[in-house]
Amino acid sequence: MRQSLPLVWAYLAYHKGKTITLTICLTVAISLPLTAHLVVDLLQSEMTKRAEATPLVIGPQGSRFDLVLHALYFNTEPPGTMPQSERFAIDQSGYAEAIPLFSRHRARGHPIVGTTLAYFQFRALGLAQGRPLTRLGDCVVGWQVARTLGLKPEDRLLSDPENVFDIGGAYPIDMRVTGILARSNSPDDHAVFVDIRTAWVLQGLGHGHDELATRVSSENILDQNGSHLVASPALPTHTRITSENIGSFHFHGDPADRPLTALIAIPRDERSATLLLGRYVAYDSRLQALRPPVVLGELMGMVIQLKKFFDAHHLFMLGITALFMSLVMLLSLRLRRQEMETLFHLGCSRGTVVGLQAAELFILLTISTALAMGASYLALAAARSWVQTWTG
Amino acid sequence: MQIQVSSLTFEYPKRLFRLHIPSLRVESGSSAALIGPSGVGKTTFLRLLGGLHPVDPGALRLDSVDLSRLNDAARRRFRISRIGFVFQDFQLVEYLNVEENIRLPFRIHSALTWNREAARRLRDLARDTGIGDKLTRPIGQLSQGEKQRVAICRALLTEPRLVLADEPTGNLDPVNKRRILQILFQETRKRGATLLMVTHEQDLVGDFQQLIDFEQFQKPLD
Repeated sequence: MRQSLPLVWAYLAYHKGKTITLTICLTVAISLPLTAHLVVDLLQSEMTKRAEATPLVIGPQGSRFDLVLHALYFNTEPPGTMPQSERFAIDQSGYAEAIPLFSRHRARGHPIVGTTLAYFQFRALGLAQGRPLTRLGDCVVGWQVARTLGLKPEDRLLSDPENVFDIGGAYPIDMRVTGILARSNSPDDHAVFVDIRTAWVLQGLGHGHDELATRVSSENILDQNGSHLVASPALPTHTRITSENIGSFHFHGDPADRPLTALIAIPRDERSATLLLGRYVAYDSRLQALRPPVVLGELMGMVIQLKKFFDAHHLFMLGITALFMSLVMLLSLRLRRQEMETLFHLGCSRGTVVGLQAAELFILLTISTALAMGASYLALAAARSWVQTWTG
Repeated sequence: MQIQVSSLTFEYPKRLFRLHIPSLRVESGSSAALIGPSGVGKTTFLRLLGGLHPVDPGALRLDSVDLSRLNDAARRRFRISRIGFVFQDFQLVEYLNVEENIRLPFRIHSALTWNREAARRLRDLARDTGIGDKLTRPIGQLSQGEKQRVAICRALLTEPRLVLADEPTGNLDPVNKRRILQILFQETRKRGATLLMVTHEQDLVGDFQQLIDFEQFQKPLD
């Protein structure tokens, strides 16, 4: 049979149009389900990996999917906010360590995540360049953010304006980039991390401005009652935090009331986790505590249902392609009857003639499978970046 | 190769006649023209000699081999090693070039080994038949006469002892007819092969040593 293979090659090369058409049909028929399968697997593994590394997420009542996706991937809006008092309560309970998250703003499209240094330890995030957050207004950017925006330590990064029509609202903050995180192949690569207090400044809960009593002109003071001054909303506030003005930054109100969009809780042990979960089920209906793997499992269940539908569709398509191939091969056999008869006259057995046809099909299938695998690999590489962008 | 036929009968299903050859002998190295009107069994006889149909009843001996005693696979092996076919419609493979067409038997049968000697034979045959400079050409670029020369080279490359030619000049102009016949005679004589050729052309039969009229072998069915 080996010496007959050049015949098969010659036939396929001579009938280029037919060969290319069949190869494309087979490649598409093989690569579509293969790619779908690989991408869903990738999505599942990427999402599950991060979910499994996050024991508990606590946040306001609302969509549990939104809360978990927000706490894990920062890309969805949280269902609402919760007071920081909950963080203190968990820490005091001794059941778990609570890592606060406040993420409502963006910097050139990337989510700004306000948290504490405990988050970096929890996610095992190291610095590739620069130094960690040291003061208000500093930020550490993820690997992909630095790459996309061309940032390096000591560069400046301006947060995106939230509402251009609200003159008295929060202004964008010009942040100082102190460090670049090492690549983690996780949503952290796509985020900008700031201290939780900087996030509150972005939210308008803290600000810095000139001393009202001594350095502000009288048109920016609405009322004065002894030493008590009421400033006008038009009073200019600092949008860049520097060594000179950092002392003027301050927060109003009770720290326990400051908002968080989610808390990541790291229980001491499984019993503590169960007790913590029970606490929110039994006593606090304003908040919810969730196990991310369970919630992501539900979400992936929907994706897998969808995948089953597509699998059935692909199977149907594969069947149609097989029928189409059979038709082409049958017609080809008819057209090649004379050629087959010649081979038979020359001493070729009927088995060898069938073998030649089978070899032709085998070569087409091999080339198509190789191409399909290549295409699926490329699609997977593209999907990997897409999945990370989507989840990050 | 000597051909000996005795009491050979063959009939196709649903035909109104049968081929019946009581006795026939063709000497080794000779040439014989098979003549007679269409449908009397000339091509059928070539197919029987080539082992394409089983011989039953009757005896058909090629040298010392009785074809009636061989099964399909043995007849095929015998055909590839001892017999060369030349057809009226050339039966060349369009997607192979001239050289690959001549070499085709070596591609499809593991019993034939391609070596330097075979390659030299191919070149010599191509040169002797006048297509030595066209070995890399696609078949579609050849004239009818050239195509038949390719078919003759293919039939002779395995050094057969018997060459069966089924109206090889049927599609050719008068000049090419004569030239092809000369090539066939020349190359088979050079190799000591027996040549059996079906032809309807009276002007060609004079060159053959033996004339076999197949009208005599046609028997109507009872």
